[in-house]
Amino acid sequence: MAEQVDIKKMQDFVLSLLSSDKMQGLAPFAAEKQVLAFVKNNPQQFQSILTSEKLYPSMPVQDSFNLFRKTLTQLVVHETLSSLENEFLANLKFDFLLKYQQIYDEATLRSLILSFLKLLFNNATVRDNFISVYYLFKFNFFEKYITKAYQRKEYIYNELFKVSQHGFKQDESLNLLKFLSCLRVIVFMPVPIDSSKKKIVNYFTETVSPDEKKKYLQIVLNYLRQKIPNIDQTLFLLAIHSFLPAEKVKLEFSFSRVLSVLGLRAQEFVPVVKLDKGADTPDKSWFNIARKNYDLYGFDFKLVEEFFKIAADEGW
Amino acid sequence: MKKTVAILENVILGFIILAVFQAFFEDFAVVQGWSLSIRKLIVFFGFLFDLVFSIEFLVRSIVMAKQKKFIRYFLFERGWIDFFSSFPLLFFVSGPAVLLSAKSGNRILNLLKIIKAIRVAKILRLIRILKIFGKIQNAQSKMAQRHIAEISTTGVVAIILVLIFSYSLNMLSVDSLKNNYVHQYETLLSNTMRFANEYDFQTKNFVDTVLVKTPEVLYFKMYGKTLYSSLKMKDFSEHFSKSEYKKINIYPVNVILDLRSFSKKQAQINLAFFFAIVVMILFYLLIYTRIFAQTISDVVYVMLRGMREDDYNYNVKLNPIFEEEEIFQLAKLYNEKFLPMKNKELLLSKKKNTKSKLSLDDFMKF
Repeated sequence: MAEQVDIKKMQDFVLSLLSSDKMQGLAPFAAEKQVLAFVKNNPQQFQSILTSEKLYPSMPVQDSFNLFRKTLTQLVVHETLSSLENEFLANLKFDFLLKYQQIYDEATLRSLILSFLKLLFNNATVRDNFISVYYLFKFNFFEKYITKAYQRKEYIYNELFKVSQHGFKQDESLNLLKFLSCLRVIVFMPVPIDSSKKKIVNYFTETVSPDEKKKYLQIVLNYLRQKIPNIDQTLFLLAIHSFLPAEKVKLEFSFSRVLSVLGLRAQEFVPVVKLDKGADTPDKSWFNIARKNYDLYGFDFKLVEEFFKIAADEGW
Repeated sequence: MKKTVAILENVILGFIILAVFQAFFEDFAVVQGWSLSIRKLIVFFGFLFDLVFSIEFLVRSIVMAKQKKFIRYFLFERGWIDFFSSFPLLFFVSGPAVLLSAKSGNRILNLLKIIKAIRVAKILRLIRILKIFGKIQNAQSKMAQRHIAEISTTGVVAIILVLIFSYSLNMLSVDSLKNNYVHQYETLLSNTMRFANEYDFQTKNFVDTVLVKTPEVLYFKMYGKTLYSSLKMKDFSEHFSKSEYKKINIYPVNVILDLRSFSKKQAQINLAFFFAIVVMILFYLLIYTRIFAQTISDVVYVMLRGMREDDYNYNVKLNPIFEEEEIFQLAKLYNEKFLPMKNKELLLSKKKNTKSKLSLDDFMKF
């Protein structure tokens, strides 16, 4: 067991890394990814840093490395949960649940979402893919694009307002998308799907039979029901189906299709960019490529096309 | 070694900028009527700069010749500008001028004639402005740097050639005007004296009202009697170079004419061309460089980065006004075809960027 002094020293070391200039603006989990990429690419150098006089010259390398990984994860999870609690979820309204004839205490629901995410954050792949959710909230992707879409009253508006069959208003759509974006990362959580619990898969495991996939989805849905009880299953499905290709998503699941596009945009978002003079804006560039490769991404072409137009018009 | 070269290059850049100011002040001092001692000092600085640039050219030539790159240096790396803005000026302009101000006598008068004959060489000093281009490095686009330098060189050389041609044909020189004026005054004076039998009333009246009161007359003496003198000898030696006054002795008259207005006119012409070149280069630097960047080099730069770097996927900003131009046609293809194709390939290959923004230094900061 590491001494309290060692833990404090490691916390200071990791915090100094996370607060370096190059990490500014990055989601905590993106910063974690950067640190781990350096460690993976430079194992010898990192080992000599850990065993240097300033850190742990007398601690076995494996122990100091484990302490480093644990501290890093703890700090980035803490940072993310704190942002979620104080910033992102604090203003989230759950009025959209009324459309599903459900009434919920907002504080309780927020707390359930936080607990659910806290559990998921034990998994590195989930953390990696939560970067998109962090940016979706932090950089107001929903506010920017959905507000404009509702003003334009074109394809996206039709999808969210009419096709979804619930006539969601702008704020309801925004809040629902935020809620779904928090839930959807569950598909990265590995789940044992056979009775011996030897085969552990997640949604993206390729060597899974259709039956096993069904089984997997059932397990995930049960897990969601257990962690966030009394929520209409349709909402869970909307979140999970945002990873399906647009043509395989039910027609009324328009929120899944919208989330699919904005989620990937946010996942590939680079927060601090000094744009070259001849280069077009980041969102416009991204949506331009996405609309050309919509079939490869599994996007709804008309959705991406409108997002592209919004980005172009707004200079995003 | 590299550091020493960098320091030397910066020193040379400093000299170039100072030399451009020197070229300006050489004529400006004449227009403003600054004292002769200051003007001589400015000429001396001109000599110093010419000497420095001659040594610079010599050293560069030797270094390049040792590396067997002299031709490349001379023809393609602006060596010819270094040459024309150094030795010809040292030998034909500033060197003789310094000698002239230091010595006197017939030998120097002969030298003066030579200087007049090749004064057009002084114009070459303007070419020195172009040397600045070689020193200022544009990190983002080598292409922009070279093109702006070449178009400026073409413009400046064109102006200099016109100047040399015009001076050679006395089209811009005020010397002929000055000689005509002196000649007319001498003729008038000699005719007056020839037809005047004696210093009668009419002659005296003509001399007083016309010959003495001519604005250029500094000193007028007749039959040993000073009729007019506007300056003291001290002022005279302080403000007049040898080419700025003319002594005329036609019995019984001794006259000194002030010819500084002609020097001023010449200096004003020189300054006008100096400013024409400086303003032209500034316009190229400030306006055309921007146009070049927006319509060529920035476009190429973005495409180049997009082709080199997997995670650089920005579209080229298209300019609808110029969309028919080849560069924007190419950029359109890059946006519409290349980037999606690259993205597709990366998606299919499932290649992940595992590079880290962090460096060892970031870990060592703790």
